[in-house]
Amino acid sequence: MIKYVIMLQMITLLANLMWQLQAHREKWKYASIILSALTALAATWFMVQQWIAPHSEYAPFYSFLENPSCEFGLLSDSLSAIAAWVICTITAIANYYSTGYIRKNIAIFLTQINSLSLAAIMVATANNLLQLYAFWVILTVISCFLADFDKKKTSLKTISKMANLHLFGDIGFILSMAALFHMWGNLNFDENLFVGNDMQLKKFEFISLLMLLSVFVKFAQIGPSRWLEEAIWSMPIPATVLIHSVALLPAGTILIIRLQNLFECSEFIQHAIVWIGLLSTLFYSLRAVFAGSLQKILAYSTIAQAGSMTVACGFSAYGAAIALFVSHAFSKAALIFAIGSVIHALSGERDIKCMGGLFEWLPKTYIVSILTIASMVGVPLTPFYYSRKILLNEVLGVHSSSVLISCTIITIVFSSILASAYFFRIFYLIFHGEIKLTETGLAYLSEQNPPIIYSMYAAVFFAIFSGVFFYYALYNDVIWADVFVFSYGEGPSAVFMFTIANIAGLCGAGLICKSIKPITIPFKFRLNFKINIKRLRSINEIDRRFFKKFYLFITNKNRRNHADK
Amino acid sequence: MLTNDILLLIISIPLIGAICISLIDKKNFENNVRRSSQWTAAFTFAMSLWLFTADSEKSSILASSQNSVCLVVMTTFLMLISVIISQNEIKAELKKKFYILIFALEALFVALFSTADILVFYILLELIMLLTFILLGGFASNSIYAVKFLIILFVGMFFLLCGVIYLISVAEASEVTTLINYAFNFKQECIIFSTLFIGFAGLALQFPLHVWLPEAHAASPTSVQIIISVILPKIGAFGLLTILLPIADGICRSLSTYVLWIGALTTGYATMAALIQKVARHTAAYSSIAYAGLLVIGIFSGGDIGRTGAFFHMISHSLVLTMLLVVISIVENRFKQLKQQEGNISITLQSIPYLLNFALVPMLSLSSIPLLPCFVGNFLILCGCWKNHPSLCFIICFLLAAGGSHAIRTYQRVSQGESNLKKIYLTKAEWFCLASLAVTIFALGIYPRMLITPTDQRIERKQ
Repeated sequence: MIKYVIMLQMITLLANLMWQLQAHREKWKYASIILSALTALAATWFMVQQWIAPHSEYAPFYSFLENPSCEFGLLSDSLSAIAAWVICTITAIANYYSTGYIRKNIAIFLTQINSLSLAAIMVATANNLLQLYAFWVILTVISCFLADFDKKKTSLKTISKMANLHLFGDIGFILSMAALFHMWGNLNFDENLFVGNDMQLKKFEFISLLMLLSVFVKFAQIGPSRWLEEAIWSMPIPATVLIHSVALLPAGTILIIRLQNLFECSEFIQHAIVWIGLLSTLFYSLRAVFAGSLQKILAYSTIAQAGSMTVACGFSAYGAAIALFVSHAFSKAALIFAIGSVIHALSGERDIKCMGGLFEWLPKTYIVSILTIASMVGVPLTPFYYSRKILLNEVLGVHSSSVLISCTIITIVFSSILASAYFFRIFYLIFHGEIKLTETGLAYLSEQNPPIIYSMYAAVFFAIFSGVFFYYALYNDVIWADVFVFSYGEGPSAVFMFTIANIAGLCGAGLICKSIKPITIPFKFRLNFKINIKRLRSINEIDRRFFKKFYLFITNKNRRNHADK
Repeated sequence: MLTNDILLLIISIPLIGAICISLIDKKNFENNVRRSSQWTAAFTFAMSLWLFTADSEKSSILASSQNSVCLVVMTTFLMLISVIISQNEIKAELKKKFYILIFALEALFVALFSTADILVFYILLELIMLLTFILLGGFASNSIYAVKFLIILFVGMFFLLCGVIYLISVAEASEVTTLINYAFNFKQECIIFSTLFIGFAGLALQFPLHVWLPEAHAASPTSVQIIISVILPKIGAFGLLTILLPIADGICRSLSTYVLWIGALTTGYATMAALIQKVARHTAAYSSIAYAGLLVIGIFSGGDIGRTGAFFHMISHSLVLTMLLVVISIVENRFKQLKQQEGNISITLQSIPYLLNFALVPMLSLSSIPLLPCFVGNFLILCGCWKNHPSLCFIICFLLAAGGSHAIRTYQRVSQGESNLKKIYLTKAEWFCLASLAVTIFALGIYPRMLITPTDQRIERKQ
């Protein structure tokens, strides 16, 4: 079944390549949209099949190498099903979104994002380390090229940072592959189990540490995380969505889950994973609350979520890790799509200091982003609520050193408070408060671009309802009864805890926003006027009054400039 | 029997072509030279493809293992590319001499890769040296590079001659298979190793003996570059792999640590030097040296996996480097006034459509991205090296990552900006070179077993 998903994705890629060759034919965009939607449907069907009857099946494709025996093939089990579903759905939405968002070189852009998601699916369906490594590196390379999409001079620094960090991080991966080949004799995931004495254990710990170096670069955990925040603004918004929710997180999560035999062999490694996850969750949640720019807040929140996924993996709570990954992928996608809509309405202005009070002008985006943020902060019945609850239950079920468990619980609750604080802070700063744009700037505001609006709706649908779906899929439990029961086992009720957390976060966000002095910055026109006018003309429902005012204003100004020269 | 005939054909076709070219008179000269040279090279390549698909038989005068068949195919392919790409570079009055030399060299290469006699090997190698010396002296911008080449490589050739004479006098036979089965004692092995290693390692650009390459490389036309920096090092590595290693097995094993560190020194020095070069051709030359070091590491890592990796590298890296050289030569041919400065190269590249896409292939390969061929070789060499020398693996990995990030950054820097120059499209010949190289590189990277299976057979046969 998974092979149909991959074939459809390849056909989408082919359609994009054809569009590159015939750049003037706009009709290819429908092919791209329809084919990617079909891919998403196929992936959904695949996921539903796995949900009804979970089974693991391996279909070898061809033999890559003989002596370190490696086959390239497709492994279809529940993990790869869920990953493929998430990846294909978000890619389909991003395809539709970028037809409205990107103006120049859209064929090249669509080729790049579709190949990115193809590589991500191949990572999910790998059965051996070599295949995983191959597509793992290809993900890096494609994201480097996406960061260079606008060909700005500033993006060079970002790319060199990304390339350096990833290539040097992958040293760990490739060396541990060589070492594991000598220990195991092959590189497959399933067959190998750790058996041996203390000497062997030392070797395994060393190999795991090497591997973790590479994983934490990809995961942007506490040390090597700087590339992520720089990468956000250097690429267009749909690409950012894919990097955050499709490329970066599943790769790391899937690697840790597939290599659980290796990581579970020593307690030291497990504890190291948990501590690194906890530190990065706490540290980056705190940084996100006080960060000054939109870019940093988004990056830090992603890193904090990745940290909580790492914690779940460290406790061997892989179900919780998958749940967190799915909920984060959909919610973050919807949030970044909404922010992209705001940025698009502001003609590419990305500074949060220029936003404020946009509620009246962008009502659809406002509704979408309030729903998304409700899902991000873990309001009951949304996916994050369930995934955090599953994580808490799993952690409480572990009988290990009590310091670690209490630290984990405190961190999870505290980070969810901080999460609601920084997400509501973004929300206030963009949609409420003082209007910082000048009148001319406000007159430009419009959200009449259908691809952006509808893809935002689709993303928010998944951001809210995916939780119920996967909760049911993973645990086969009754949902509704569980929500309103006040206590669960030994721990406090999740509803109670997360509601308190949300309220505290709201108050905190209000306090922080009050303490920031309002700054009035005139709206900067980063794009030239002609493009704007063209865009506005193409929209039928545009407010005539505003339009006339602008047009006069612009033409006058242009004439004056011309006369000066 | 069949293999033998095809090999004889492959050796004789370029010689016949060279004779034909020497007979061309002045009427319609350029067109005739172009056609005859291209057809000769293409026909040779087609014959070598036939050899590749034909079943190999062991008993023959020209003993051809699958290993050397692969190298023969690679050589004829690179010669085809170099003949096509050199049509615009060479002046009309020199063309006759140039193609005669090139085809003579091609015949010699094929004979060298398929010979089973060490004395014949030496003689062919000496002839190749002489012809390359003439090529460098006649067609490089300054003949001083030819003198440097002569001095440095003939030191190595002298040691090689001593070693060959010693081998023949001790074992009283000159066939490689007899020499492999002959039991040398420790002292004899020491003498054999010290002489043959200096000869082959000098040819394979190991650390102190590489100094002639970068400048000579920058001063010579593309097809000469392909010969001196792609094929000659591979002959050295071929000698190490098929002659020195089986004959002096014991001493190679006991001295392998030192040899590996020589290889690592070469790789490290060349990578670090490549990072600071400003001329694109110098960078390509240093990359060639770095990968020659990797070849030596793979060969002496003491295992089948490392040797397989080294053999794979011999072919894959030749193709990748040739593609890089072709791209550089296209850019330089188009804009000779903007010679060899990266800032200008970016404008130039922007004005030639599709060239940037092709330039991506060698750049990504050299940064050892998976599904491209250099990754396979690197991975196999690392796997072979890890068992006995893990610390060396760390160093190699670090160097590869440094080189890779440099390649990616260079590509991004070069692809920046927009040019207002008039667009000049690629010609048919250039399209052919680039597309065939790219297809071969992708095929090797995605399906490396195409080459790796024959090598394994070879190793089994030897044991």
